[in-house]
Amino acid sequence: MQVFTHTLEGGVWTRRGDVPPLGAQLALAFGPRALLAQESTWERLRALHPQARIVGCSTAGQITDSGVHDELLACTGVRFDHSSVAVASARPDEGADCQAFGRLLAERLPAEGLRHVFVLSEGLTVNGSAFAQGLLSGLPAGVAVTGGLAGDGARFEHTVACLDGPEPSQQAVAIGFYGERLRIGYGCAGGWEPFGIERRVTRSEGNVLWELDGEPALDLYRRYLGPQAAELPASGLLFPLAVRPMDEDREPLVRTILGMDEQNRTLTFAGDVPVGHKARLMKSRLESLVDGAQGAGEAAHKGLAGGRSELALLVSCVGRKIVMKQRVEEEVEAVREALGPQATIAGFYSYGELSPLNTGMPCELHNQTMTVTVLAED
Amino acid sequence: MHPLLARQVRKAGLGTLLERPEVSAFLERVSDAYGAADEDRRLLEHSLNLASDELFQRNRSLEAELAQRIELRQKLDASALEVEANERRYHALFELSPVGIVAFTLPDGHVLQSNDMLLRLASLSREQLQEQGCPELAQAVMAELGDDALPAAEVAGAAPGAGRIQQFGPCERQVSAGAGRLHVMISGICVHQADGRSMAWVILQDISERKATEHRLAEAARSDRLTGLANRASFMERLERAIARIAEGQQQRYAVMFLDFDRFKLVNDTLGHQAGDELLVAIAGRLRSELRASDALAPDSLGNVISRFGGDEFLVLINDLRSDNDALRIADRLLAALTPAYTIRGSEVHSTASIGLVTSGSPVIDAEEVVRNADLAMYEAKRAGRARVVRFNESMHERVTRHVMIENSLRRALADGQLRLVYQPIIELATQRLVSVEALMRWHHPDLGEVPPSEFIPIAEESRLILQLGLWLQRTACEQLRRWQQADPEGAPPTVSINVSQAEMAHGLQFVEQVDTVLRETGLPPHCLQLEVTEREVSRDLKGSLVLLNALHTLGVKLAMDDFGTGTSALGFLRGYPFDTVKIDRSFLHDLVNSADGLAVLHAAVNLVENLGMASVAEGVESASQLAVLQSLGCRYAQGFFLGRPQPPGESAPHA
Repeated sequence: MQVFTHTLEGGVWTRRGDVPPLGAQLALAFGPRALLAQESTWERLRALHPQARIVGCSTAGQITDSGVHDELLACTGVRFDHSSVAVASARPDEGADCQAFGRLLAERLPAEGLRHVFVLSEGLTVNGSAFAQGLLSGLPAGVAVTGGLAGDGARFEHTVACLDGPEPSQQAVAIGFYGERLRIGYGCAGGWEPFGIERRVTRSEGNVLWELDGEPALDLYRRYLGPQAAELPASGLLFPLAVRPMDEDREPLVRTILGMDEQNRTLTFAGDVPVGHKARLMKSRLESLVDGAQGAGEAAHKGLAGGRSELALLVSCVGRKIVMKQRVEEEVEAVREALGPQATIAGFYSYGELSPLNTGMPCELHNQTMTVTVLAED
Repeated sequence: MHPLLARQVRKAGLGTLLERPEVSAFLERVSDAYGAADEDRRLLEHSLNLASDELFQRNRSLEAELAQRIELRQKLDASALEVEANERRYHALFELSPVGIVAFTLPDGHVLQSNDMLLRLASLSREQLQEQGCPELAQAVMAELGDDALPAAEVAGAAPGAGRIQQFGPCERQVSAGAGRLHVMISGICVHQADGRSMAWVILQDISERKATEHRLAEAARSDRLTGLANRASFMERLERAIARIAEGQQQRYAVMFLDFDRFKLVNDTLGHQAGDELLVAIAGRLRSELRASDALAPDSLGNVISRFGGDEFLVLINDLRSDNDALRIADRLLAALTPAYTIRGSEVHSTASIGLVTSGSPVIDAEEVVRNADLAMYEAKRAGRARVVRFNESMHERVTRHVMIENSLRRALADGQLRLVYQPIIELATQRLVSVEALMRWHHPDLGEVPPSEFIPIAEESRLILQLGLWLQRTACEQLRRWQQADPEGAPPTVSINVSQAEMAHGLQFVEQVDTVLRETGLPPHCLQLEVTEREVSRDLKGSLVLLNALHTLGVKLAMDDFGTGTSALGFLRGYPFDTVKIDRSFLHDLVNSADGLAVLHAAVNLVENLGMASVAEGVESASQLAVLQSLGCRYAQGFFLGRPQPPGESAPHA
């Protein structure tokens, strides 16, 4: 397979890698919402990839071979030698709920020969957990799903997932990968540690958390954030919640804050925080985040079963970026280390990651993780 | 710029580099990194502190909760202990209860629980009881619950009495237990459960003993304790039945005999009450063996009934009679059986029976009247001399009625002053002088008119009223003579004569004392009083009479034997008795007319008396010729209508 990248920064287009004779089959465009909203951007992209379906989304940060950027639009083109792709899109209002929406989207991909699905979805209004369940229910068994929710910097205002153009703004796009000679690997890791007491979700509605142990959720976060409470909801990413069902002793899911409601003193999370579940605040050390990213990369690499990654799609969480600040690139470097210098790295900082936690497990919505999907062709 | 970086730059002397924009930009990023690190550390410390506090608080509340739970646990343990103790208590109560307790399902009686007492009452082991159940008891409970009991089997679904509790009892029942039957009192509750099943909790009390006692008491209420014969109530009941059966034609005849025994009081007085009881028991025994009366005291049984009404009165009811004469035969047989002496406490006791007999066939009357009539007949038998059977007839009513009337009135007569004395002169034949007056009682009954002494004196003697009469007679006579003496010392009769009754004789020395007292109180000199005692009275108890007469003689009073010649005494028995006078019975005078021997006998009597040194008095002189004969025979004194009728005391003394 052949991979090449175009980047737009400061009005300047730069290319990296050779363009294959036939051009790209698929182009992945990640960038700031403002840029993706412009028709002129898309004109250029279509000019660059006349044969390709162009899939992209707004982000909270862009990941390229050269590092992590905020105001950069990166478009990665892919031409497979033996494999093919299909794309599908769906709007949330087409399904009765997010679950139905996910299912609908998944069913729109041809099932025959489908090996893997990569999904990008609008990030603020969709209930990622339900969406992920719906996706799975619409796919043949054994087909994994990875992907992420679009972001909007640290603004949390408006996100878009795109297919061949800026409109419609509220949609999800799925890329199906076909072909027996494709090798696919994926990994997902966090690096956050729960600390302090375990609290009980005493009141919530879906992904809106009202109360923990009877205390308004917003009050709890304000207390912990101290002076940084002024930067809520973004600063809420500093303390994701480890959520697990009360009676099960499984790995907790990590949930991060997407929004808040001052009046009700509620916090909106990227996934469900069901009543009765246990929740603990989490903290991170930079080292463990980087280690986590490395772990994700290694897991993805293992999934190739001997192959070497050619394209690595990284979907990392905006929360990690906010925490690591300048050092965020270290996690990308860690992934690079795991995958090897030959892989082209593309990706974005999302408001939620879609991935199985481990190989063979069902796809779930995660927060605060680095998810890595790697592709290679025999 | 971060202070650390600023210091570092300063110390490195790199301040000037700051002017270069790329350096400045770089250093700014470095400064940011330092700041970020600081911030991270602060946030971490802050969250650590918060978490620490929270952990501490949580720990505290957990500890408190734990303490609470421990306390709760202790309370629960204590409760559990209490529950256990209650269980034990309950168990003890249940097991040790003196009443039987059992729980079983209805209607089959399948046993759910039972205590030891119940097993004992039922004479069963626990296993046996489990096997047999309590079907009999279950039926008894069902009967007690009546219509309220279980709904009929056809009623499906929720039983109307779901969850209802019904009480039953206490009630008496008989249940099988062991080899026999047990009389029990049962009470309890029946629980109707929502699923249609019912169960009963029953308390059983063994009342067999109580019942036996009740039976005994009932029996005792029917029988006379001393003799074991039927008592009055029992007898009356059976008599009523017999009367009813006659009326319904189920029985032909019956006879009632009222038996009275004399001497009973005497035995009591002389040998003691226990001896009296023994006599009664002996009498009962003879009656029983003679009559073969059935022992069944139940009112319905036909047989004969012997009963004791109390005192020495026995009543017999004969139900199986072949004929009316049969009754007399039976009565005579009884008399014969009762005649031989009884041996009581080593002494021989004679007690003759007087039997009053009533047979059915008279107009139908009630039991009370039958008994009354038998009583009247018995009374007649007594008066006729005892040791006989007298059959009731209607005329007895009147006689006895009068008799009873007189007896009752006599008591009041004395108090009401209906009695008075009249005086009959006794004349010395030679001188025609008045030597004495005999005081005689007269009684004017407000309804009956004059009641002759021959009628009321015997009645008085029967009822011991005679003693009171006697005392009154003495006192009144003495007072009267005293008055005469004071009014007319010359003309007053020398003595006043009064009759002494057998009862007074029987009083012995008490009587002597009484005479002495009356003399003193009235102030009459003893020799002015003459006491007359009949021959019969003397011969009844020769020894006792002698003692009494000697004592009276010692007092100084005069003694006269009355009715001489009417007894069966031997000629010489007059000797040794301190009589001053002997009154020859009037029959001797009457015989004068009838036979030639009469004169000889009278002559002999007068001679005997005179030769023995006593004065002879002839009674009943009614004609001049009789008087002449007496004078010729040498009789000293005489008394009679011819010589003077009894007169009430006037102002002055009677004269000849």
